[in-house]
Amino acid sequence: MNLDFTQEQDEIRDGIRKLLRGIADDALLIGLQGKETGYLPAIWGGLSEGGWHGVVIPEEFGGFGLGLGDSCVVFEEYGAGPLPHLYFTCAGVSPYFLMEAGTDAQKQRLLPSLADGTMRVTVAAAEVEASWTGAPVKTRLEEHDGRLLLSGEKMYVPDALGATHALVTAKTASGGTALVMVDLAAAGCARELLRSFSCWETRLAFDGVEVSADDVIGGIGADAAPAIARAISRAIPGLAAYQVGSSQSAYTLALEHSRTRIQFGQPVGRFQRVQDHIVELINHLDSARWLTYETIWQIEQDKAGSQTAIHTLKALVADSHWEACNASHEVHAGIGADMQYGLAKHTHLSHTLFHFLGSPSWHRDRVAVTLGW
Amino acid sequence: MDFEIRYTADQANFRKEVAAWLGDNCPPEVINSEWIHTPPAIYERQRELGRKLGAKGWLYPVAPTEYGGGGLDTDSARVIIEELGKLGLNLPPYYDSGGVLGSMAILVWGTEEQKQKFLPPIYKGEVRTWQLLTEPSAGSDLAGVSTSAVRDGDEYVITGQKIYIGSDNGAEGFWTIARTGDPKDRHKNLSWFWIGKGTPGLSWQPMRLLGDQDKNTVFLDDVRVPAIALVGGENNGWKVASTHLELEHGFRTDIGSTLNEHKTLDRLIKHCQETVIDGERLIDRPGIRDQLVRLHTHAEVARVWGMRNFWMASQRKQSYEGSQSSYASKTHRMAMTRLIAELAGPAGMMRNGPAPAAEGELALVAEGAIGSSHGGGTVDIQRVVMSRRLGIGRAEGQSGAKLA
Repeated sequence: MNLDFTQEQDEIRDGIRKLLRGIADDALLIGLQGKETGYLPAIWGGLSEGGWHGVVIPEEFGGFGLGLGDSCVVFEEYGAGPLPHLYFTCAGVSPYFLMEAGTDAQKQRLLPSLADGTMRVTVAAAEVEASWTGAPVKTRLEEHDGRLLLSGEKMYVPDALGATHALVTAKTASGGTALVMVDLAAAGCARELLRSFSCWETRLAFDGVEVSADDVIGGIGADAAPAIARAISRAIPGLAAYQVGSSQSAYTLALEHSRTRIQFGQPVGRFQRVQDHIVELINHLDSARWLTYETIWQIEQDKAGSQTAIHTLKALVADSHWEACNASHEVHAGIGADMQYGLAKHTHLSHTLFHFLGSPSWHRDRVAVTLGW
Repeated sequence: MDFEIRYTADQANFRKEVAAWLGDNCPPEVINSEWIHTPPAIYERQRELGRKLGAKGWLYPVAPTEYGGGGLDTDSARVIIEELGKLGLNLPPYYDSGGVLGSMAILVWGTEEQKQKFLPPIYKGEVRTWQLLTEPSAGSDLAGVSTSAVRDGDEYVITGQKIYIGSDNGAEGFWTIARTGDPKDRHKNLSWFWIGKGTPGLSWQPMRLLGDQDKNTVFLDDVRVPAIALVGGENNGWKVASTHLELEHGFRTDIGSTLNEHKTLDRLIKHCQETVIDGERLIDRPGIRDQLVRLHTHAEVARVWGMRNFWMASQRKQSYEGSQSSYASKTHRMAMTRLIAELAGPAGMMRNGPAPAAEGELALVAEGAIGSSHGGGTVDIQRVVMSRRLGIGRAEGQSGAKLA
């Protein structure tokens, strides 16, 4: 047993932390709130220079090819700011969709562009009447006069206004699921920012958007559903690490506030009511943190129960990130609710990610199923 | 990171040796025997096994050999704990909180003479000890005890009353904390004493607690102990107690206890799989499945924290984590109790009759949950310890007590 990070992981953490301090400091991230998109060329370009968009992409496709545990060290740092979830989605979710569903030729063609940051690819799965993990999507990919046309509407898409492309799930005439790479600048494609208690969730509408056979990931006729399920499972540990990083920041802010905020003539952290909030906060944080680390290890070791662990993790982290932010707000009161303070961006993220890659209740059901209940 | 405990070839061989020895020496009636409510005849056999383990140095395997311990590394100790676990036994195979916690305090604070005198009987299993700490008027505020110890020549005379002590079947040695200084000198007016077997003036009365627990009220009436019984120096008892309490509040070098959450949950899951009410398996009801998964998740966290704590304790890096685990398991048990009632229905609280859920095991867990949420420090005390260690509202976190 050894629960320390490797020296290489410590170096990776130092590297990304130093970079983010320079290109995405707290003031900048606070300023991004309320903007149309979380995409900022200065941040994106800085990450591109270091090759950080390609941490999970294998070297043969132009990425770093980091192991799971190493890449999660990076995503934990993404969460500390937090970097908007477009950055995480592009680096930690979309690549898995392509790696799982794509043909060799598609991987050769597309993954290097994800790795070097030329393409910013978000993922569009949920709809008004379909969840992230549900099958009955209404968006359709159909052939008309030899042209492939995409029609329908996607909801809760991570920051489509900041992305160049989206991987879109659609039904085909055969009833199978297709995964389509859509250029968001294409004719017939509309994007809209949704106003919500979350951040940069968008609606995408496709009005007969023409795509090529090459854009259909895995090829025409292939049912992408199993590959999508695998991709979601592969992306969950990174998502959890991203949320752990954000929860850690919510904790650090609360702890510091408990020491510096004076009321009734003493630091508010001397009051047990306030202490209790921070105790609950760190309990949520540590639940997520250690389950994340152990799940990563289980996957790396190919343990028999790792699929159950993945579903358990997603359900737990969705809750714990949310509750960690809530507890931090209780400690801060009005100060934390001020959009200029820096806590709200974590709170918004915790709400945004709650249903991302499948709702907690769906994942809890999968826990029961995989345990054979 | 590596979450797996990997045993060397030597340790694997040691496991075989331990298993074979237990096969030869563990009385059959002791296997899976109760830790509390132990019938006297069974208890005697548990003690017999304890003495045999003690003679081999396996009762307190990591304790120094010069005082009768095993001098083994923590991995080998875990091998012993795991092999005993397979027989449904803990190490020691009987309730001995005073030995487990109290011996550490002596190792840290005792003089060489005291270590030579007090530790071997514990490590050899010859005495079982109770910790006499809580008083009727001093619970969470342990430093406010009013039991007094007055120096009289070469002796101290101890007078007072202690409560919620030990379990059944008595004990042969006792640790206690008593006031030796000015009541106003809080934390600097206490001293830590050993009281040996058969000391006149010491008596106890069994008391029944919620959850069918056997505890005792202990009376100290002019109990005379020799000066050597004072450990850590006069008015230094709070520091000695802090070492003791560090372990009480969850600093653990074994990970066995953390599996308890899963054990009860597994029993509950099995019950929900086997029980058909109104024509439907309980576990097929979505609401029940969802609640069971939530508890499964808590139990997973407890399990992983247990490994984390074990790792940190072995590196001597643990600070708030022991109390965090303690807090989580106490609250988890309460949640489990609620769920047993919810899921198993009235049968979940039955211990007999035609259809007690899970042969009454769930009822036992449920009954014990409230009491165990107080024992060894309340839920709130765990939060207080965490807050201090984390440094909430303070410039920095406080460090843990001194350990050997």
